[in-house]
Amino acid sequence: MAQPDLPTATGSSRAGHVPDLQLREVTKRFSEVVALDQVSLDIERGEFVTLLGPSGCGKTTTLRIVAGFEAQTAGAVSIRGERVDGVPPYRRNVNTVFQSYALFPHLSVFDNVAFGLRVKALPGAEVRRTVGQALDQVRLGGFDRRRPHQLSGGQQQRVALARALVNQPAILLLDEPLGALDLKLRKEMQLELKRVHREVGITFIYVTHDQEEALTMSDRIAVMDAGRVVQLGSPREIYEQPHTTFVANFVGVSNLVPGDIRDRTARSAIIELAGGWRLAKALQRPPSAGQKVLVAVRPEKVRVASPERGLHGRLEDFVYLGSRVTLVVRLTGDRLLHVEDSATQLGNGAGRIGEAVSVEWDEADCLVFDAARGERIE
Amino acid sequence: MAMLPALPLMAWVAVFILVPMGTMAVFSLWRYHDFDLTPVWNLGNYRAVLTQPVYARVMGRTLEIAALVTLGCIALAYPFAYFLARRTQRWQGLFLVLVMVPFWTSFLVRTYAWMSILASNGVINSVLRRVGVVDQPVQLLYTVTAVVIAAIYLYLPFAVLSIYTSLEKLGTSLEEAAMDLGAGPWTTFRRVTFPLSLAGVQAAVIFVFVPTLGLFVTPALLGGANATMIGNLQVTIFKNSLDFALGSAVSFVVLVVALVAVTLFGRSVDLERVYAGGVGQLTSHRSGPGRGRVGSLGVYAGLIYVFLFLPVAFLILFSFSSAAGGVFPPPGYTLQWYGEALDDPWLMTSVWNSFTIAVFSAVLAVVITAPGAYAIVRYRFPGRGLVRQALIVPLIIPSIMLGFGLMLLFKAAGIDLSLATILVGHTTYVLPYAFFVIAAQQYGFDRTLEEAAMDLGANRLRTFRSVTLPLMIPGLAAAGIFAFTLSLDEFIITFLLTSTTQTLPLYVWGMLRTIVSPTVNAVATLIVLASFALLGAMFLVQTLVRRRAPGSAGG
Repeated sequence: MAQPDLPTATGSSRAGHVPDLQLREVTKRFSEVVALDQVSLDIERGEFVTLLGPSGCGKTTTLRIVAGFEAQTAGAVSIRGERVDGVPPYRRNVNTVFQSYALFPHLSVFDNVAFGLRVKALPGAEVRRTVGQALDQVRLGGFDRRRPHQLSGGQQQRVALARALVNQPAILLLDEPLGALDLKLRKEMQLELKRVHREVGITFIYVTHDQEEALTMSDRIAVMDAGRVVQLGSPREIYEQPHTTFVANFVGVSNLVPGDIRDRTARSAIIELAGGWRLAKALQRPPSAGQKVLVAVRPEKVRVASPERGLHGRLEDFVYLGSRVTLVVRLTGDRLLHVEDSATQLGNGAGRIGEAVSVEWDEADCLVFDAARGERIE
Repeated sequence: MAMLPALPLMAWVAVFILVPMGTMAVFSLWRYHDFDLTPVWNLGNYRAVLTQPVYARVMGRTLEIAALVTLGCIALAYPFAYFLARRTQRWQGLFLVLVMVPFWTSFLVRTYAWMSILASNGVINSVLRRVGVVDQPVQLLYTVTAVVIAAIYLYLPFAVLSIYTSLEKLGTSLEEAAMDLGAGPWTTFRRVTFPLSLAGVQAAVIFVFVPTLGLFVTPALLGGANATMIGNLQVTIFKNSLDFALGSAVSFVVLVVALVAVTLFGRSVDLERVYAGGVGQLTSHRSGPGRGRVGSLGVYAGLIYVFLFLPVAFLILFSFSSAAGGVFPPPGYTLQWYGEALDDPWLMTSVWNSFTIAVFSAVLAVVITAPGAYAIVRYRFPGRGLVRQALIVPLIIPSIMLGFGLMLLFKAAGIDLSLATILVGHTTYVLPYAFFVIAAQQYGFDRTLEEAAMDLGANRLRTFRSVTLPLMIPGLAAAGIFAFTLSLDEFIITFLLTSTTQTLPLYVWGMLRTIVSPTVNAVATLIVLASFALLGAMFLVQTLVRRRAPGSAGG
């Protein structure tokens, strides 16, 4: 699958400016395994970019290469226009917030945060002032004397953040920093990180496998799979216009219904879906008749139709999620389809399992993908 | 470059472990004739060892004793270890420490304790005659039985610890699953617990059988002429007849037996973790809901504790007794033996020597092994695997072999025995223990802490100084203390490598060999008290160090 064309920043490139981070055809091999496959990426100053993907997609490897803990097998890495190949981590203007926080257990909170400043041999008064400010910024003022083991997970995470930021790096790397926190705390910390990002104004590169987190926090998201960047764009672009079925499935829930092209005009195609429903879809480049496609539609865009229309099936399950309700429909042809709506709309489904049900959606609300290659058909 | 920190360790291992073993192998194939060792290659020595009746008899007896001791230890240890692992929750740490406490007192003292108990006028005979069961004293001392009992007493803690560790690691969830599926307690034990604890039993076999092969002191003190073991024979050969060729051949035969045992039973034993775990066990803190069902198992455990502590208790008692020997109950009490003991300048000298040697060997061992362990765990370089294998060797052969090997080395190099040779011997003896404690800690070390330091601008040296080294200190301290205590109690290697220097174990041995004055009891008691104090100090240091850097790896 060819690497799709990547837009650089949203908006046109400004002449003479230099991206904060530039990866060009970066490849990383670990003996047999190709962890990164010719990854190219530009990240602009002040952006909050998330590398999103499943385990093993290469997002952490990318981060470690930028930090300097791994060296790429091929390709170029530049930070603010300067190549950093072979530059050790302690000489890069980049700091990392580790997944396990990596706070020094034998040092106090103050000494942890002051570590980088002391390496630079800054005068004591300045260190005290800067560290105090950094702790205030993450709302841990007064925690100076405590040891890491005396702090909660959320507090440790904030110390790790302060310790990194206090060195005023050009780029801050965050490696799944919220993974160990419970849901409520995680959501709080997401907003906290966004606030800090706004206040500090430097580039943040964030790694996560949690797509909701990516959508919440990022200016742009780079969706990665098997060592490649599959799509790069704003959260809205990623969610509403995924380039591949992988992205459609990974970010949010997608229903994927197989179909065949029955007919086409210059600007549209008739798609017959398994089950017999024919859908007319407006397309820039409609594929020829007979081609197999996958139609993707989000559950919240699907609605229950009157019995003679749409796709037919049986209600297999009914999931109550408090604010929302999901119907799981087994279509003729055996595919499962999720329909989501508010509890008031879909009502109480108890007792209706096994009943025949029909579903439909508007043609504008769905996307068409080539079944063989998973690429979106525009 | 990465190899640099490991060079001192590699050099020491090569010179003081590999070369002596190699020398012994070579000498065993040469001929000794007319007080001269000539490089004539032949198998005559081995033929002698394997065919001449003297050697065959002694070797056979040694194997028999080793087998009996091993079986006895395991039989006694298993229920006890089961009790510790499954019946004690809240006070488990304390119970464990109590098992190890007798172990930490001098083994010479513990062996000697049995002399008073088994002697003709000792405890058992006194009681039997007083009660009227017998008229004449029963011959208990200077028999094979005495050696077996004393050896079981010496090595029981090893067996307990091995079996306990494997039961502890097993956890209860599998047993609960079996009972959930309908298996009663005995069936669960038979079909689930016991088979899965076999790793611990196998480790126990190695830790009891192998050292028993090399026993010297115990048969010398308690066995008399009837229970000579191969170790006694070897010392006679090496020290008296000086037939190093024959001595080497005998050593290698014993080594082969030891290695066979290790190969058969050692497959599931990760030696590096065991020794580190052994030290760690003493200071790890266990808490949880009390599950104290005493029952018959608890009574049994109580008896074992009595078995472990009673000999030492008698020793302390007799140090105050006005009668010589182990007359029980004592006819009167006196402090005269203490007076005599403390008056002896030799005692003070030997204590001072032991202390100095122990400090020196411990420090040297840690200084050599720490950078070596650091490099071996992190980097790959040529010779890395060989060093690790070579370091296991002293742990799986009787320590008497190390002594013989070094004797040969010094003899071949023309170096006279002195304090220096003792120091080399002690350092070599404690080196593997120090190494595995430190290496175990290095394995568990959180590398991301070093990455974090580098991420924050610290180069490799600064990272080592500010992060790695401070966090290594608990492990280094543990290794040092372990080495120190091992050296204090070391007898046989010192015995083989000394000329005039006297250490405390040598002093006690001298007392036991010449005239068995009750003063020995006083000296022995003082040693016991000192051991307790040392143990307490060690515990204190570990707790303090751990409080300073909690959560540090391997602590």
